[in-house]
Amino acid sequence: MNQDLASATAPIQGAQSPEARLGMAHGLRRFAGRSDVLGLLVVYLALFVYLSIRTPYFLTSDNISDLLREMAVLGIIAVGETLVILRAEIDLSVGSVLALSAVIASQDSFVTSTPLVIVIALAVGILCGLVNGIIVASTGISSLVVTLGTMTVASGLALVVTGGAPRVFEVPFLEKLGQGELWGVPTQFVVMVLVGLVVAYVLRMSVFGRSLYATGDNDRAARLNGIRVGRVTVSVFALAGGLAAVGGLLYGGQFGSADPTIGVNLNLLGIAAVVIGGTSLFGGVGGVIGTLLGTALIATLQNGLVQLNVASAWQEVVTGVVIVLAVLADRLRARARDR
Amino acid sequence: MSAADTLAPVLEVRGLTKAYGRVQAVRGIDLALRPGEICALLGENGAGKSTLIGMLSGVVSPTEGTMSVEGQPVSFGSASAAQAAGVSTVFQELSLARHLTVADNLFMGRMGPLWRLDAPRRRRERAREVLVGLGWDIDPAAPVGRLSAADQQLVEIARAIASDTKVLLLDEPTSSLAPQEVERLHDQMRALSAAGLAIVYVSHRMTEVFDVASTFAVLRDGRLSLRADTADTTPSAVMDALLGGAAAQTGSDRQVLGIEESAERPAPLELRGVGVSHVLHDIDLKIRWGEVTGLTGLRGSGAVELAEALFDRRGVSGQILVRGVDSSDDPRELMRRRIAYVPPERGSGLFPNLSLAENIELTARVGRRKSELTARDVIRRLSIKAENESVPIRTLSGGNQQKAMIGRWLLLQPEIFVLIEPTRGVDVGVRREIHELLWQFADDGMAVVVASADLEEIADLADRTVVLHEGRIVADLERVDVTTVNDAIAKAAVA
Repeated sequence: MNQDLASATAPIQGAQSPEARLGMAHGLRRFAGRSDVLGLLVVYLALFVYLSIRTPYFLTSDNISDLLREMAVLGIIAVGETLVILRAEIDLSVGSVLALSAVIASQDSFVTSTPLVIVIALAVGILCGLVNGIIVASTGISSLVVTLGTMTVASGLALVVTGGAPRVFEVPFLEKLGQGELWGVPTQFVVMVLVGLVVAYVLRMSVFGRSLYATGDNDRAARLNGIRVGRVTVSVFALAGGLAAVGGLLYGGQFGSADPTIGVNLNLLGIAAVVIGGTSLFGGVGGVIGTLLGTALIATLQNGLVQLNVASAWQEVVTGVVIVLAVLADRLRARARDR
Repeated sequence: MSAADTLAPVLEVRGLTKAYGRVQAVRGIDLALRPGEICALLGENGAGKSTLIGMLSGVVSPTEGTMSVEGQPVSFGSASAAQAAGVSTVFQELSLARHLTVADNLFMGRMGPLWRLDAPRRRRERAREVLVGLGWDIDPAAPVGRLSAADQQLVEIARAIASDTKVLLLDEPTSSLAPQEVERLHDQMRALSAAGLAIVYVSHRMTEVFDVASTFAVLRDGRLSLRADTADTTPSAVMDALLGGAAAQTGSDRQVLGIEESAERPAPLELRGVGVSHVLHDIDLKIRWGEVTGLTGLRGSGAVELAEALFDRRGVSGQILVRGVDSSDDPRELMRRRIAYVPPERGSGLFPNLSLAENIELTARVGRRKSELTARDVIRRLSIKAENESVPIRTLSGGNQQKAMIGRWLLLQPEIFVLIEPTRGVDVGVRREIHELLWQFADDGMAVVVASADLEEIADLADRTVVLHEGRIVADLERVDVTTVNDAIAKAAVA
C-alpha cells in the first residue's frame, strides 16, 4: 500500500530541503524541551551558591553527604509519583504506603531474612498501588479521591500494626544501603540515581513509556488508537507503590526504625518534587530528571534553612511558597505550550 | 456509468439499521463503495450521519443489517477491529496527543506490547519513511501541537492508512482548515484514491464536496435520499435530498411593526466589517427593532458563529455596535444594556440541581435588577410544565428547560434577544410555543435574533432571513420559505 501511495502522491511544492529544516527545528526544540530543566538547574545552582556563601557549614563534605542522604527516600518516591502524574493522575498515598510497607516488613518473623524483608515490603507496596490503580482504572473515580482514601487506610493500618510507636527495623543489608558509602557517596543516593536513570531510560525507550505519555496527554486518542489505557493506569500506580516500598526499605536502613507516621509529610513533598521538576499536572509532559532536580531543590532548601537558623515553622512556610510558585509555573507553561 | 462501477465493491452494507430504544437513527441503508471512489456523505443534524459513520468505523454496533469487506462478511466490535479489517477512520475531533511528536502519534498503540523497547530515533526513521512515502513534508520529530491544522489532519490520515487500509472514513476533516489547506487536503485525497483507496468524506461545505467527491450519498431521516455520481447531479438536487424539497412551508402571516431607527433609538445591533479568521469574512449587517431576524445557512456556514461573535469577542475583528455603542463581552454589561443571550447548549445556561424558580431568578439576581415579575409569573406566561416551582430543573423535560432558559431573561426586561438554536431537541408543540413567544417579543418592539442551521425553523420563524454561506452573507430576504433559502445557498455554492 505504501509503495502505491508513494508513487501516486506528488511531493508538496515550495518546501525547504527537509534536512536543513529538520536540523534547525530539532535543535530549537531540544532547547525548548529542556529549558524547564535548565531553568531549574540555574535556580538550584543559585540557591547552592547563596547557601555556600551565607553559611560556613553548608559547603562542607559532612553536610553535603547529609544532604545527599536526606534526599534519597524522597527522590525515589517522587520518581514513582512522576509516573502517576505523567498519566494525568495523582497518588496522595505514596508516603503512607512507604510507612505501611516498612512497618509490615519490620515484623519480627520477617527481619531474620533479608530477601524476605525485601519481598514483603515490595509486595505490600505493589499491592497498595494495584488497589489504587484498579479502582481508578475500572471505575473512573478521580484518583485524588481514591488515593485520599487509600492514604488514610494505609496510615491507619501502619498505626494498627505498630500500636502507634516506631518499630526497630534493623537489617544489616539495609543498613549498608542506608548508612554506607559507595565511591565516597552515600549509598542510598546512588540507589536513587540508579532508579531515576532506569526509569528515565524506560520512559524514553520503551513502548510503555510512549504509551504513558500518550495516555496522559490525550487518553481518548490513546484509547481510539488501541493503547490499553487501563493497563497503563494500573501499571503506573503499581510502580509508584513499589517505589514507595523501596523508599521504606531505605528509610529503615537509614534510621534503623520503621515509623508509622513518616508518611504524612512525604505524601505531599513527593508531589511537590514532581511539580517543581517541571512535570505537568495536566499529564503527558515532563520526566524523571526534572523530578530528581526538584527533589534536590526541596532537600537543599530544607537543609539550608536549618543552616540559616530559620525556625522550623518558617521552613514549612518557605517550602509551601516554593510549591505554590512551582504550580503557578506549571500553569503558565501549559498556557505557553498550547498557544 | 463511471469506470469505478465495473470494480467489485470494497465495502458493502445491506439493510444497516440502528435503533436507540424506539428511535431508529438509521433505517435499512444499502451502500456499496468501490476502490478509488471518493464518496461525499451528507446529512443534516439528526439525519443519522454520525450513527452511520459510527457503524462503519466500528464504534457503534448495528441493530440489524450486514457489512462485508471485499466480499467477506465482517462485524466490528471496536475501532481497532474495523481498522484490522481495512476500514480506518479519522474522527471529527482530532485524536492526537498534542505534546508528543509526529512519530509518536503515528505509531501510537501500534508499537507492540508495553514491555518492548522502541528507540525514539528508530521510530522517527520509520515515521519519515511513511511520510516521505506519502510525499508529505512533515517533520517526524516535531511535537504535533506545533503543526498547522492541515498538517495535523494529515498526520491523522497518515496514521489511519499506515496499516493495510482499503477504506478511509474522514469525518468533517476540513472543519478547522483554511481554504488553501482544504485545497491541499483535497489534492492528497485525490492521490490516495488514485492509489485505490475508497474514501468516505463527510462535510457540510457544498463547494468542497463538489470539488473533490466522485459520488454522493445523502441521508435524510435515517434513509438514503440520494445516491449518485457527481457528474449526474447538481447542487440543488443535493440540497433537496438533504432537506426534503417537500418540506417547504410558510410561516404565519405576521405583520412586522416596521420601527425606524432614530437618534434616540439607534439600531439594536450593527456589524461593520466583522470577521473571524477562517469562519466569517467582512460581515456588514444591521438588525432592526420589532422583528425576528433569522441568521441561517448550512452547518459551518458561519450563521451560528456570527451570533456567538456578538458575545465572545475573542478573535473577532471589525466593529460590533449595540445601540450605537461598542459591544462588550462582559455578561454583566450586556445585562445592563438589556440584552438577553440564550446559548446553544442548555448545559451552559442551566444549573441542573437548582430549582426551577432559582434557575429563573438567578439571572435577575446577578443583574441586581429589581423586577416586578417573579419566577411564578414566568412559569405561568410560558406555561412551563413542572410539578411545582421548587423541583430541581433537571427533572423537567428538555422543552420546559429551554422555556425556563428563555423565560428567565424576562425578569431583566430585555430589549434585544439573541438565541442560538433555540428549539434544538424540543418537540413540535414546544417549538411552536417558543416561536409564538418570540413573535410576541418582536410585537412588543424588541429586536429578536435567532441563529440556526435548521432552515425549516428559520423559514417558519423569521420575519427577515439573512443567509450565510462559507462565512459571507449571500442573501438578505424578507419572509421566505425553505425552497427560497435552499436556492440561495445552492446558488452561492456553485458561484
